[in-house]
Amino acid sequence: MEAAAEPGNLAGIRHIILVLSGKGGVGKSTISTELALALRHAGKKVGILDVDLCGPSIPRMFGAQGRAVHQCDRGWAPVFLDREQSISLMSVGFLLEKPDEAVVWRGPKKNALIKQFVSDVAWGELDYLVVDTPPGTSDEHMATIEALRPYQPLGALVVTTPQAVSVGDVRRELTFCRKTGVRVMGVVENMSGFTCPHCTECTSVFSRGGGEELARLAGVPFLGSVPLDPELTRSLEEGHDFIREFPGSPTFAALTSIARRILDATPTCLP
Amino acid sequence: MEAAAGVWGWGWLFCVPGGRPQAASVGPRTCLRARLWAWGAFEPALERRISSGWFLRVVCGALTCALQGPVSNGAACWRPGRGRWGERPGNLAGIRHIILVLSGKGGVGKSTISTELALALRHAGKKVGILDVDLCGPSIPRMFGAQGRAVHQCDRGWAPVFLDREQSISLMSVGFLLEKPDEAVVWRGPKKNALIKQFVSDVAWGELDYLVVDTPPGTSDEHMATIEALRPYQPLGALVVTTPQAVSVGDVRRELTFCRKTGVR
Repeated sequence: MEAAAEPGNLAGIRHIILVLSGKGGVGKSTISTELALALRHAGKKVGILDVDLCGPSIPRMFGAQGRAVHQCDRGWAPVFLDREQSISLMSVGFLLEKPDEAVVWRGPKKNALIKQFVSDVAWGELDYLVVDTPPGTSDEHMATIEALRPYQPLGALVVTTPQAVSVGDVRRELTFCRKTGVRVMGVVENMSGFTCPHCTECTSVFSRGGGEELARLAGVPFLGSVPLDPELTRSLEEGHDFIREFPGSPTFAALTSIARRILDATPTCLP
Repeated sequence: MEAAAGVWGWGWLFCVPGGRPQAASVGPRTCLRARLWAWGAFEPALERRISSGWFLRVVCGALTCALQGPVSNGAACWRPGRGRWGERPGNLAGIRHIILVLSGKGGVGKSTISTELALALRHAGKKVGILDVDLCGPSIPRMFGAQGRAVHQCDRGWAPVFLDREQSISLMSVGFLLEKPDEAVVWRGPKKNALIKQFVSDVAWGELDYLVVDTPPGTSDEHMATIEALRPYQPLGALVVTTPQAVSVGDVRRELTFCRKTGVR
C-alpha cells in the first residue's frame, strides 16, 4: 500500500464502493442514494462522496441543497443528514455560491479538488463510503481512482439501462475498470421496465435484458434490475427517504436486494 | 508557391510572436483571397496586385485580419499566423450554419435529439452533418446504424461517413476511429482537446446547410475545446436539452450559465 499524505481521514472507512457508468442519465446518483439509504436501513453508517463536479446531483436527492461545508480540526466536515450522523455527504454542490453556478474547469483543477475531497474530508468512522461519479471515463475518474487506490476500494458497481446504446457505453466502462485495475462488484440494470399501477402490466420502456446480457458477456455478477417507479422519482425530487416510505414498491425490493448482495459480498474482517 | 510560402511565413511571424493566434474574421472576399494565398493558388487579378508591392500587401493583409472584428455572415475566416503549412481553414467554409446540442445532464437525449433533428432537416431538403464530440460515449454511429464504418483520408483531410449516395447526411465520431466497440477512450483533457480541434479543422465536410454538434454531458474540456475551435465560424447557437425532473433542470441551469459565460447564444 502506498503511503498516503493524509491517511487519517479515510482510515475510519471500512469499505469504499465506486458507482460508475459509461453512460449519462442511467441513474448512478439514484442508485448511489438508494444504496446508501438501504445500507443505513440495514444499520450501517454510510458516506457519499459526489465527484461529479459538473452535475452534482447528490445534495438535491437528499434535500440538502443550500447546506454549507464547515471546517473542523481534521479538515472539512461532511454534511450530516441527521443527528445520529448515519449518512454524511460531500459534494461540490455544497461549495457553490448559487445553484446555477457552472463549474467550468479544466482537468488539473478538477483533479486537485477531487484529491482534496479524498484527503481533506473528515469522514470519521464509516462502514461504507459510496463514491458517485460523472458519466464517462475522464479526468475525474482517473483522479478518483488514483486518489483512492491506496485505500483499496471494495470495487465498482456499474450501472446501465437495458437499451443497446447504454450497454455499448458501459462495455467501455468495464474496459476502463479492467485497465485501471478496479474490481467490478457487479452490474445493476436501472429503469428496467415500468409496472402500471392500475393494471400491473409491465412495459419495457427502454428495451430489456441488456444489463444481464452485459454482465454475462463481461463475466461479472448481475446484481439486479431496478424497475421505474414514479414514487422513486418524486422522492428524489423532494429529498425524501424512498426506502423508508415505500416498502411495498417492487423498486424497494430490487434496491434492498442489491444492498443485501453488497453486504454479503463485503468481507467481514478488515484486510 | 514561393510567394504563398512567403505569405504564410510572414503571416506566421507577424501574428504569432510566440503567442496564440488571434481568431480573426474578415469579409468574404478578403477571406477567400487569404485562403487562396494559403493554398498557393492565385486569382489573376491577385497575381497582378501581388507583383507590385506584394510584401507590403501581405503585411497589411495580415494586420487587417488580426484587427478586424467578427463578421455577421457566418463565413469561414482565415486566421493569420496559424503557421502550419498545408492547414486547411476551408473545411468549415462550406457549412452555412452550426448548431451545438448541449445539456448539463447526462442521458436526457442529446444524441437522440441531434439524430432526429438531423433527420428532420434532411426531410426538409437540407444537407446535414453531425459532429459527435462525445469522446467517451460516442452514440451517434449506433443511432444511424453506422457502427463499423471506417473514416478515410481524402485530399482535403478526413472524409466524413456518408449515410447515403446523395450524401445528405454525413457523420464524424470517435466511434469510427476505435478498433473495437469495447475500446475505452481514457484520455486526459489535452489529448481530447487535440482530437476535437482536428475534428473541427480536418474533416472535409464539403457543402452543408447545417452542422449539428452533439456534445457530452457537463461543462468540461470537450465543451471548452469545441466552443473555442468553432468560435471563428460563428455557430448559430446552442440547443439545450433537458428532461422534466428537477434534478435535470438543476444541471441544465448550470449549462445555461456556461453558455452565457462562453458567449454561446
